[in-house]
Amino acid sequence: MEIKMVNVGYQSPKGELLLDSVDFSFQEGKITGIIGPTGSGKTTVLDLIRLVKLPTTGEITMGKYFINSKGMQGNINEYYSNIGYVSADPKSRFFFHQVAEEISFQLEKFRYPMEKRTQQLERTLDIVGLDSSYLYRDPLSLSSGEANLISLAINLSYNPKILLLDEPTIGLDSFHKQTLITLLMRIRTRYQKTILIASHDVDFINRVADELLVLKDGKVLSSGPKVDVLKESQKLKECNISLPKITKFEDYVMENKKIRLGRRQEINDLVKDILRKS
Amino acid sequence: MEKIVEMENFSFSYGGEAIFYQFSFTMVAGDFCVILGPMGSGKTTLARILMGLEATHDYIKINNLFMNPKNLTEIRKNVKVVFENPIPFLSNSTVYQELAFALSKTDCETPEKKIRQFVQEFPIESLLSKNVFSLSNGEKQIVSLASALLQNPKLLVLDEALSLIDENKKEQILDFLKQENQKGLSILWLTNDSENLMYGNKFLFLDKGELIFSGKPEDVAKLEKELNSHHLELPFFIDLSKRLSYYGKCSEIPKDYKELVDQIWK
Repeated sequence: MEIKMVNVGYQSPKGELLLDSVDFSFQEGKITGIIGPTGSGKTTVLDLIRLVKLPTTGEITMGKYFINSKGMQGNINEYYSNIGYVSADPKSRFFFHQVAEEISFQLEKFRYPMEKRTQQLERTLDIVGLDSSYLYRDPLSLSSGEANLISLAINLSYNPKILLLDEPTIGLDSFHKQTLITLLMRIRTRYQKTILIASHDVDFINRVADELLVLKDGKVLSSGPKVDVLKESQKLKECNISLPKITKFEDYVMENKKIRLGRRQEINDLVKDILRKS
Repeated sequence: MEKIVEMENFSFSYGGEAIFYQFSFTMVAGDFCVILGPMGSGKTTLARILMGLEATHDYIKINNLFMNPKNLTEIRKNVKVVFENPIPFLSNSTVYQELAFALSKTDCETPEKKIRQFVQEFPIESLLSKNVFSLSNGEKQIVSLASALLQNPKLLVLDEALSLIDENKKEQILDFLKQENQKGLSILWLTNDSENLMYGNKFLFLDKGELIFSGKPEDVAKLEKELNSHHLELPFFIDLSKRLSYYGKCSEIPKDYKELVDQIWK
């Protein structure tokens, strides 16, 4: 499902303008990274799509659903079954004593057939690379990284078309980051999901995203395919947008040695580039 | 040398599961110590213990005070812990009020003046009039760090407390922390991002409640295998130089970007 935002703005009840005329389309089968400084409106974009906030101006269209300042048109339950959301603080959304209960609650909510549930529990954890011993853990004893992965697993269990991830890399080590990258890339192509990731971890975004939406003070600073956005790294740097380490290194080399390296996502490709040009 | 944290043969378990077993750790006053540990290695538990939230017994000594119920108030004055998720610690008010509240717990007589001085060096001025709950998660981390710093602790413990702040702000904050460190503030930073190592003057590696390495930040290059087996990465430029060294480039471990680039293109 494509998410189309036309002239979307959001003003908080206290009068702060958190988003200002955002025009952007989140495409189906693509991973879009939403980046920008703290307080630039990354989370607000996700909040608008999951209907926690309503846009004060403009409209959002998603397939047959339509959202504007008055609310949403369409069946709201059906709409929510299309949306998966992993919050930045997933622990606050857990309320059972066991991870297994937490997952089966979600399956129940979306009327998953009873016979298949037990089997589905283990499969769910397997998808995110955690073993089944986690089923019997107390959700509150999990570290923030583990909680993140389990929350993602729970959300994937009912197969939503749209996946919203808010800071998914908090507390993840590089192994689990890699698992997450592989997983997201696989489900985006295989199931044609629309994936939105709001994150300040630009290195992670550089590796996983296809498209970028760069926000600054609620406005769109730059948007489009990742390679195109990163080509204007100088402009982003002037606006205080953090850049991926690889991009920074490439810029540093260009500045000091006048050698142009390609825009790379993986460190191994950068190594090859350096060997070719030195 | 004066010691700010002393833990001797300390054991601690949580729900029947041993998290620390005969754990010993000392930290010298004035150090900027970075503890690197993978997911679930006991970082948050350690932070909670240092604040006196978990266990109170005589195996732990902070600033020459044993951690027992009698000394707890005094210890909490000296130790401030900033957690990754600051939300439970904030009240519903403006950032300015939040900072003033933090100061009211100290014996500062001119809170207004102190806050005004503080915001000149710490990047929080633009947030002062905003409501704490309208802030983004990264900004909440900044506020919570600011309230901790305003209370003039002797030991500041950061439990991934800068993880949501974007890089430019983070640089500014770290510059500030380094200054405070030179003035005598001891800092203990618990993190799983090896990139952060370079800010400290000491580096320890924590795994499953055990300290398996301690040394200088540069020594991290020697730990490649250990880091990899714990799913952690080397800092970016050391990683890059190691990879290049397999092809005969970069024979030495560089200290920063400049050295690395100069080694590649002599």
